[in-house]
Amino acid sequence: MTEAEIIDQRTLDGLLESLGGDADFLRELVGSYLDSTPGLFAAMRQAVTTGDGAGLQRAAHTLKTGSASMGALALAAQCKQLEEKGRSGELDGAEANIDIAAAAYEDVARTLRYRVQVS
Amino acid sequence: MSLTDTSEDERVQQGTPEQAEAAASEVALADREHDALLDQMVRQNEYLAALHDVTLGLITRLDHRELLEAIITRAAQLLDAPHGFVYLLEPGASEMDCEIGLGALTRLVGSSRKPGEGVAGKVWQTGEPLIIDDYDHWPGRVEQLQPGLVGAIVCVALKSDGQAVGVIGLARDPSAGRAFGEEETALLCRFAQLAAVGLDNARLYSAAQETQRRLTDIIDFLPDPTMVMDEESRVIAWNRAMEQLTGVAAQDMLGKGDYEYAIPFYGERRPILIDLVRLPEEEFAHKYAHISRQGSVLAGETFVPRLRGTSGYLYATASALRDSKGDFAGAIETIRDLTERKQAEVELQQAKDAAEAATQAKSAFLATMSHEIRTPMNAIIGMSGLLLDTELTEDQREFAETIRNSGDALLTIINDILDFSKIEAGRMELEQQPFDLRECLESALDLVKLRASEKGLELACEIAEAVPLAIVGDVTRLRQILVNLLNNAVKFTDQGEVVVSVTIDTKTVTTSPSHPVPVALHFIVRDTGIGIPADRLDRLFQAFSQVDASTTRKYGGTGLGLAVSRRLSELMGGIMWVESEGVPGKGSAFHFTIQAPEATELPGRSHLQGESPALRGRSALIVDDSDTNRRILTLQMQSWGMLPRATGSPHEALEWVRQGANFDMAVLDLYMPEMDGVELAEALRASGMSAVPADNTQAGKSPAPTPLILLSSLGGYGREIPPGLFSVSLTKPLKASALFNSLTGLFAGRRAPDHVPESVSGRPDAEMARRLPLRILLAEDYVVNQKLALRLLAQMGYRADVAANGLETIQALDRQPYDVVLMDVQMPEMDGLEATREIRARWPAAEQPRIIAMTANAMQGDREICLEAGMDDYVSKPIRVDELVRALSRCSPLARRPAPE
Repeated sequence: MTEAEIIDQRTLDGLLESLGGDADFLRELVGSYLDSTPGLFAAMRQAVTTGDGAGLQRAAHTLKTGSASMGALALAAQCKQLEEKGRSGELDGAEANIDIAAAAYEDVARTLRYRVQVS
Repeated sequence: MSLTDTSEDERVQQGTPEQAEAAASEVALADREHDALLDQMVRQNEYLAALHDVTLGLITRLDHRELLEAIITRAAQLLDAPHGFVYLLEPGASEMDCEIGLGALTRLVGSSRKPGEGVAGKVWQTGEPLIIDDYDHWPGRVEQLQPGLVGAIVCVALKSDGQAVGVIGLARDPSAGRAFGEEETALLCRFAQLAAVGLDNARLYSAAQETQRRLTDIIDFLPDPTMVMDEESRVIAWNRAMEQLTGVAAQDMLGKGDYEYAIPFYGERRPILIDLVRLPEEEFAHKYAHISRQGSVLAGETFVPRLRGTSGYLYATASALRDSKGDFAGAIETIRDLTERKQAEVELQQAKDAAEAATQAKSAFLATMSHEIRTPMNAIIGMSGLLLDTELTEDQREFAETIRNSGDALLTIINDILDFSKIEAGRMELEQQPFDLRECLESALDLVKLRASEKGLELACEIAEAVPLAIVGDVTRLRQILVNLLNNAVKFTDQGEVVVSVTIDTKTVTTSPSHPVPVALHFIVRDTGIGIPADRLDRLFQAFSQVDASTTRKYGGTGLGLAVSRRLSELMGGIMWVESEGVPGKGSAFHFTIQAPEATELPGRSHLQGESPALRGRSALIVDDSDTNRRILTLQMQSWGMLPRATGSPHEALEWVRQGANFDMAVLDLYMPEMDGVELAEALRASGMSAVPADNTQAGKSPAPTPLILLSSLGGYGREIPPGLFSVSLTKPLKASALFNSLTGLFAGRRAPDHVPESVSGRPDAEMARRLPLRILLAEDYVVNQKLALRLLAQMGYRADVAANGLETIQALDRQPYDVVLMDVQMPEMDGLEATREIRARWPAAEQPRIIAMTANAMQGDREICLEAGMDDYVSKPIRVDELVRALSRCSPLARRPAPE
């Protein structure tokens, strides 16, 4: 996947613009996203383990919205699938989806750090 | 005594006897002449002496009768005339009366003479002295005097200022034989002159005395206590009223000086107002500030400590009296007793204070009771609501519902009673804030839509185009009136519709471009219910009256709602009335008017008015069996510049499409008798209804299916709605904003955010918070969204509080009221929908925040679920500035009252 596909620059630019061009705050926002995402992945795995469809739905939904605002559209799409699985309660194969999403997230995190200069 | 010289004596002795005789005769003649001269001198002396005496008497004697008697007596003496008379003419009289008679003429006293009658009348007439030598043979004699009474008479006139004011006359016995001579007459004339002068003086003095007496009488009978003092400050008048006021009799005060008159007032001798009249103006202003001067009159109010044993308040006026030369001649003072009036003033003030205190106490009581009552009420309602959200058996559910409904009903009654008391106590204050009129109506409809849909009733809202978007007034109270009327309408209607409409009250509108003029708005809540019989119409608005007792049993309620609503509308400058034929099915129409100025500043809704560029020229098909709904939709779309065509018959709609009509979109009502909305939608698709090509990019491609909007009431449909059939599903009562959003969403090509999300665009408006101050609570648990939302809000000037789940949200609202809650739907512990339901159940309408859902799901029905839970609006996630602005613009601050009411 090319960098252009991992993070949609237009989205990110739009986000920065809506923040009045405040790059520092954007950095802070991205930092919050990066800090909270591992926890969400943990929650999703936990939910699948315990068969908690609602829990999976919630965590996936949350990650979906966060990723979407960062421009991580592909990741957001994967989260949506997980959300659906959680909502329907059909958790078969959800574990695999989470793995794929996790891998996608690695790319996203790396790209974001580079783009926004977050340490 | 011989005065001749001796030479004559010698001639007598030397001459002849003839010569001697002639000489002796000469001497005798000379002697006789000499004696006569001597006599004359003596007489003249006597006359002079008499005149002198009389003149002296004039000075000392003031009684005119005494004076005249003295004069005539003296004259009678001198002139040796034993009889006499004096006639006097009173001013204005036509006859002279005899006042004095002397000697035989005493009998004349009391008789009268006309001019020319008798001696007196003659003299009166001619004004000249009359001498009669023999009265008995005088032709003018009167019968009253028998012959032989008097002989010679002399009579002269008494003249004052040249006019005869009387006559004075003397008479001698017939035997005296002497008539009155010239000298005697002249003397009598002198006496008459003196008498006349004396008479004048005496008259003047009597007149003066008479005047004095009259004046004294007048003063004595004046109703206000009055006293007069002379130039020596001695009391010369002390009238009855003064006696009553002071308890001091006039006889004890007259003639007293040395400030004796101050004692009945002040208990001591001291100057009082009347003493001050002598002071020159300059001294006044400094010493006696509480006394005012108007011209020559002093006036002032004073407290007197000693009046009749107690104290009192008096109002006194005093002025100086001056004589004809302008010199100070005394002073007069008049008093008015103010004690009673002062007392009354004090009592009035006390009564006023007491009334004020009572009203304050009443208000405080109302306020306290309001809070005291509401707190446990909210607990009952809230807890029963929470209970209903748990797992319950059927029985338990029924019990819990009963508790909650009873709690709601009780709260309504309590609110009504408190409102009513407040209005009656004159303590109801209405806010004057700008607010969105449409939103007020729509939110009122929100509160009844559940009940209406349960009964299968149509709800609609019609706002005439001329009605202003925003007005200044009390949104909460207006909503209260509307909710009351709508509740009643829904309560008493079993089938049909309930419609609320607003128009301008043309009778009272005035135009003035420069400043906002109150606009009179006419609201009507119409229903197709059971109606109200004509003979009950007037009783409706009275407190505690129902149409009849049976309705209370069947329909519930205390009958206070209408009384409160009417009074509220009156407080808003309007009136309320009802029209009904009393025929079930024809229903009733409740009218009320209010006065409210158009609000000049309330951004936000303007995009709902006037043509919309996104919608201009778009054609629309409307199919709804309700005339009212069709009319409302048509007018609304037309106002946005669209081209709607409406029909109540699905078959007709199908016919149009079959004949080739093209529509950009269609709005279909779900519940229709002939064919329901789903069936119609399927039929329309089947007949190939397609959209008008939007732009050139579509040319050549197969036309996209026309987007369809489903209109349904709350309550659900019997079966599943086939997915993809409808682009949007909206619930009734249809809000203009919801329709507008849906339409523009359709035509702007905006897709659901599960595709490429639009970037967070738009420049933040830093001034918004200043224009529209709002207390915002952000209920969001995801830190990224939280930070972003807070940041965007901060850029608009809003400082929002944060809650991380539903429970925290409710706790936050417990602590303080918020105007807006941005509610994330998905939160741990208690999600947004649950929290919303709880909030709606728990707080009174006046304190309900506007709840905006933040939802990432644009799936069909998701938004509707939010609205059903009681949310007012939604923005999509991730949050976009423009949506945030739009959603916040539709908010208005809660009426800020010092809690509790």
